[in-house]
Amino acid sequence: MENLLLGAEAVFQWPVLAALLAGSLIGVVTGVLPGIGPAVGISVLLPFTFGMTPLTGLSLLLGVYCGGWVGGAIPAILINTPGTPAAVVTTFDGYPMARQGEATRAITLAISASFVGGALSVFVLMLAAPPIARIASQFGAPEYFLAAMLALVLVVVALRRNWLAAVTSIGLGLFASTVGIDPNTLGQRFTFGVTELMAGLPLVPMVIGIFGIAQALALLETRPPSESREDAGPLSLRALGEVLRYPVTLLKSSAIGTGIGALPGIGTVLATFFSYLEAKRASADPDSFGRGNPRGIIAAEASNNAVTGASMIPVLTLGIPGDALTALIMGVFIIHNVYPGPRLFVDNPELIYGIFMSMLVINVAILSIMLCTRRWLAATVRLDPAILAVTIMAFGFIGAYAMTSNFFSVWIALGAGVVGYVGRRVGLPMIGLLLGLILGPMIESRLRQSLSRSEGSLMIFVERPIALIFLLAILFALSLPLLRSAYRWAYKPEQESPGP
Amino acid sequence: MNDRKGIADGPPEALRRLPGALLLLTIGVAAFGLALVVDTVVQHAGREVPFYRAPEFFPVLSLLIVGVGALAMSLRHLRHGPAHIDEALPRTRPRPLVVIAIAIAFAGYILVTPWLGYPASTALFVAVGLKLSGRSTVNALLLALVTASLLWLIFPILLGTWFPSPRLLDLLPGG
Repeated sequence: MENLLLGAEAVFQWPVLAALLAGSLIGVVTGVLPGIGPAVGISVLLPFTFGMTPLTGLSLLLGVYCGGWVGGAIPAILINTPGTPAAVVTTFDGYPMARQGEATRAITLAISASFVGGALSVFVLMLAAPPIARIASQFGAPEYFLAAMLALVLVVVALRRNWLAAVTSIGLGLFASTVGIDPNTLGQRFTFGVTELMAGLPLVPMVIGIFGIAQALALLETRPPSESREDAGPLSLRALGEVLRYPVTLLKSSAIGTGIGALPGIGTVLATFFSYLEAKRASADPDSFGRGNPRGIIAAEASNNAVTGASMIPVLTLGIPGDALTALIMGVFIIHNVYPGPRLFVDNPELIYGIFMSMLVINVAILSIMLCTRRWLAATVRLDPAILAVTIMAFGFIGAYAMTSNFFSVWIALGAGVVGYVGRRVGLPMIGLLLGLILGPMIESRLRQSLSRSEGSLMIFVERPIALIFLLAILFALSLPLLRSAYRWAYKPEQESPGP
Repeated sequence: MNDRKGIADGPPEALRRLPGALLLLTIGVAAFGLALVVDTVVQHAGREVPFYRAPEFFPVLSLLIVGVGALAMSLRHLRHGPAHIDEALPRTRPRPLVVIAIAIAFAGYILVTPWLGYPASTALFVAVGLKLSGRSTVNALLLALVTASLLWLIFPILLGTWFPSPRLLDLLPGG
């Protein structure tokens, strides 16, 4: 409680409040604009945080992170185009409801379900993070190595249909993280005599390139949204409470989102699909799903926003981001020389509890912003992607340059942007590259420390109880596709009746 | 979607997939190549150390992952086309030349900034970028002025981001 008051005191300062309000507004706008999304928003805003305190900078970007998911519902409902990948499930029932002349009701349901999902997951974060951090404080090099490996394995398992692409992309990220001076031997690796590369590939330009510039190039090949759209009418405050008429769907979806969000690598898209399918399965009238059922909107929106708070658990307690967005947030910590993990709970409780309180306030801010600016936001859906693309690139230039005042960083951003654009075209998921890049130094140093301690023996990963648990979790995750195939194989003969 | 379609689709489909497959093949070969010449691109401390302490241990491991993965992906790409990923925007208006032209314009933006200064080069890039992407000249110029002024106000003026003074000024008489 004392720590929470400390956090509240840190958050209720004008600069932090202004940052989280601005971040929430920008986040909502990035979510509303199809093809932009919170990742682009965060990468473009990263340079703004250089001169801020860690909590102010994090509040700005956490606002973008949380706001982006909520904003994605508006184009999903009004023009049947998800603003973010996770909002695709919102289109299933949101757009049919809008077509029936109930666009305002659909948006209000989405906003209120998002608020409940987001706020509940922040409470889970507040309750779960401190005890997990206490357990994590007993981790040594083998445990950290295996925990980071688990995050990467879960990304591969989550992208199971493209596991090969995920593995390749992670490999590229891990390789990119080795460029520069080796911290152990101080020898140069892959610098090719370029002085600027001695400190490694700079994170901010890489992030700006992979997410900002690459997405801008992709936007150039996207048609502007169609002119015809359903209208968002005036708001009825009574409609805000409608979400409470579906408490089971609301709580179940929030729980699914929170549970999946806490696991590294699984992602928001899967959480929304699971919640939607569960709501449909549990419904007395499953056929009404896809035709404007309010439960469909609530399930999608509550779960995708419940991911936000929970996904901060592995970042704050272990320093292991589970998806691209939390990896970007982790980048902000690194830029400010703050390293998340159990020590941070002891050394800097003001920051940790400040983040908790900030996320809680952000959810309230987003609710207010969405209610006040809903009709204006609905109009921005029609912005020309080409204008957005060129503007993002101009922001990307200054963003990459600002940290080092060196044009070499902008070349790195352009290179990363081309890699990101081409990578997406050939099916390489950029989340793997980013996670590899961010987790690479930790994985390498912890692996080398572990093997040095055991003089090269791999038994160190089996002999320690917590390490063994992580190892078993990795093996279980890797065996999931095999178990799934075995299950399908076992039940296939019953489903098919191959008669002569 | 097109998982069931293979090379049997005929030459046009297979040819369409060829550039992507070749690119992945190049990544794979480059990764193996780097792994093979790792001794020349990674500096050693000059003494014998166990494999796990050697600076090339982890890079070689990651290069092998990239090499094997990219080669396998290349074959898969040729047979089934690119894998679908959630983060990829639907390509509703393929304009590869516009994308290449704007990427080149961005490279030009980096090159001309030390000569023209930040505000002028930003306005130039935004105007050229918008014109290349199909906006009218008036629209492109207006948006370029607004964007460049806004960015100049925020970064060099408010946040104090330093830029070198334009070299072009030095070439002017009395510069």
